[in-house]
Amino acid sequence: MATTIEQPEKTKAEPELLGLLAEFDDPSALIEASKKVRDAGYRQWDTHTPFPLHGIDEAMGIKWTILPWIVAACGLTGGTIAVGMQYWMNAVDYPFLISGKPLFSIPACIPITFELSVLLAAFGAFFGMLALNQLPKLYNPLFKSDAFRRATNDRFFISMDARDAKFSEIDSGEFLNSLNPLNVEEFWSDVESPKLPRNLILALSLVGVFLIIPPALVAYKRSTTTNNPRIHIVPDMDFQPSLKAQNTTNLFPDGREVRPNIEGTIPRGQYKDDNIPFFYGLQHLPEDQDVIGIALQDEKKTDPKQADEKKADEKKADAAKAPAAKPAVPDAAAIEASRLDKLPWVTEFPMPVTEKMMARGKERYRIFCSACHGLGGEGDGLVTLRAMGLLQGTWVKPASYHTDNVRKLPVGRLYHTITHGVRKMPAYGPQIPPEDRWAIVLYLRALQKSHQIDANTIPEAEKRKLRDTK
Amino acid sequence: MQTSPDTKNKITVHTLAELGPLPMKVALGCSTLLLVAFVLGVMSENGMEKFAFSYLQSTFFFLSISLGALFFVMIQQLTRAGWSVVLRRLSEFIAMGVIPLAVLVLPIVLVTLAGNDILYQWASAKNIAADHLLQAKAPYLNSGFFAVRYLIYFGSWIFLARYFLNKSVAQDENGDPELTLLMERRSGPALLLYSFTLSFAAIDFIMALDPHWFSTIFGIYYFAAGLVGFFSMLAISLIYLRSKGLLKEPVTIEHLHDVGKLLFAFNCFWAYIAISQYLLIWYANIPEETIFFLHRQEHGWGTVSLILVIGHFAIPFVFFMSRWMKRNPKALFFWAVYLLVMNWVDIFWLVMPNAKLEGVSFGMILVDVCCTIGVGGLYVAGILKLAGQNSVMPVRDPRLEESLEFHNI
Repeated sequence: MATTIEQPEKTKAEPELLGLLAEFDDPSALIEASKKVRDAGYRQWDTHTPFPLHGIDEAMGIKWTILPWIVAACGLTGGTIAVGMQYWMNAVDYPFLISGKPLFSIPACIPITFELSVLLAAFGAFFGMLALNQLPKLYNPLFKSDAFRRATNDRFFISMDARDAKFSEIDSGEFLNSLNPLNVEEFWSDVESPKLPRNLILALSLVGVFLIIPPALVAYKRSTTTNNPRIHIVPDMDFQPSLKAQNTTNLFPDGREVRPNIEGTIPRGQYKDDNIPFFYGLQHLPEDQDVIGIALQDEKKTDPKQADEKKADEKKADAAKAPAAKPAVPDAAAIEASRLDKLPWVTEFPMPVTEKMMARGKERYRIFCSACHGLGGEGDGLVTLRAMGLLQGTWVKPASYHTDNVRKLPVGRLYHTITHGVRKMPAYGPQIPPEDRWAIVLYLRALQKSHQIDANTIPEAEKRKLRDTK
Repeated sequence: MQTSPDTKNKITVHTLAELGPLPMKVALGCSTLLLVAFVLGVMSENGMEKFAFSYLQSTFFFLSISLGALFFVMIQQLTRAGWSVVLRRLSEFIAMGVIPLAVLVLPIVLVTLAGNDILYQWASAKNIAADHLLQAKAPYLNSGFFAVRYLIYFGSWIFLARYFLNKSVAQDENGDPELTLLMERRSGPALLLYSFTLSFAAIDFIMALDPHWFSTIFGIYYFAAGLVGFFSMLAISLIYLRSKGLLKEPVTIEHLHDVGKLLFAFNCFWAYIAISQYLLIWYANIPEETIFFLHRQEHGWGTVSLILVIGHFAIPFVFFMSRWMKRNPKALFFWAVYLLVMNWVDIFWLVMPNAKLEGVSFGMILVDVCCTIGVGGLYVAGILKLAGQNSVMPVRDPRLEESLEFHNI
């Protein structure tokens, strides 16, 4: 056997002794043998059994695994990523306020944090286990041993690696024989490295080619244009059968989707005739009910063309020219204005005036009115300033509250203006409930008063406060 | 694992009677505190209210433990579990606690049946007449049907607890492996019956304290709480019995480790269910649902809620996770007692805010603690009495060998 080493060509690698394999036929023998191998000081060796064996870890002297720490680290990483991601997305990168809910809150974060922690912990456990076991291992030189095939059936093995510091072919062989195995054999490295079967290579390359198709299609579609309409994946959601406002339908004979109030009924909460001062700002309803709904239009009705011209020769158009053009013919707006003036407006608030109501009015005023009218009511809100800056010509500057005209208006008339609008100002009745409209009127009165007050009537304490305020 | 034909020769039979008369005396001694709680209740302002709610809380605290035990017994049979055989008999004893509890809950049912609305608003016709919702719910929430359901619930549980204990005890005598197969077949339908009765009982006795509020997850919340209570109780009793020399040989650190693992796992399960209930209600933000948590954030209840979040979940999650804690009997004993107390706080938090009392008060806690110890005394005495001369371990179970040899690794 030894003579065969005399080979002329040294191109092929010689087989190398990789280790020794001892075979046992029962688990307790293996455990006893393992204890001896452990005590003999070997480090690079392993046992192979057909089923998990209680007590083998201890018999082999295997240290407690570090896997729990890997899992804990992965889980914590997942949790941190989840919270960080949600914070960054919801509160920093794309803040989007939904029904007044906070941009970032812990309870909403919990499901994703939990899922991601569990996911990464599970990855950590699975891949960590594989890595610690040096898996996947497609080939092991032990597979060449015929005896070793029974390691998955009814035999128990100890394999000893030749790279162990204590390993020597003769001593270790004797030592293994002293453990009373069925037999001991050597296992050797391969002369030729094993090759993948041709069919497998072919199949894998085919799979690889097929895998390229989807990304290629995506790339093609992304870089070209098409005339075909988009694909509706969920047509029921894209084309809902529900009726929408301002559309037509065949369902009703009048073709309207929005239904008018049914004849002879009053919508819930819309009965107003029991408290006319409160709901209308009038002492009693006039005979001609249509007048109530009038929203006073702009007195100088300039059509778009004129506006354009005006803009073109702006330098010529000086301040003196504009008022001259104004009182032309008593047009429809002027007639309506006079009809409104004649209505029996209430001059006192139709409810007790309280501190709370004033606070409410201030709050509502700042929300709904100040954008155009300005915080002080001079008609210099941010929207106005911007519109004037753009010089569009279509913007009508809101009236200042601090003119004699507005000061003289009865509270009922102011209430009516908020409800139905005036000139370019839209009606706020649908958005602001009546009690809030009255509160705004109250605050408006306070604003007016604040601009026209005799310094002597202010108490000393208030004056000091005013002086100290910067 | 192979089973030995007759393990009885090797194992000496122990009974709870070997503990001597002391545990029974202590339990009966504790039960006098129930009278103290009653007297405290009568003497203080709103006292009867305090006492009634405390009594309900105490009985349902112990009921959750016994129901947890019943579940454990059945699931072990259903899954052909081998490891747990040595501690199954003790669980069967704890499950028998439903019998004393059936007697203890009876006054609550009788008071409701008499039309007293101290606990349940819907018990009195006057309240129903004044409330549209109560009228709508009256076909279900009425005292007659309530009493019938009480009989169904407790009847089912007593039947199940007795069935699984008696079959198991019979096996001690004849060693017939057929009995194990029989119990395995019966435990499936039994678990169905159990889950329905438990869910509805939780709804009827605790959720119906506030008939305007509802949560579909409530039954499983009570179930989760019960399992935490049961595994705590099991760990405490095992460690106690081992210290007295009973079960010392058969129940090893390995078994304690597994009980610890289950305790930890079901504590996380409890937290999972709790957050599931909270999250949906919090997110939907509908007043009729959020009212439950609003009550529990006001008048000092906010502190109790935080104790649950931090004390019931966060602290045990971090510190009880370690393997060492579960394999060390002293540490396990500490965590079991701790989580049992937390389970008590949990049921306290479920029941007590429904009392029309202004917030948490020292008086309420005092009455409640006395009441719990009192009811607990009767409960433990009942279990000891029912356990009687039976062995503390199924000595001839075919899987006993496997359980005795059980190793985690």
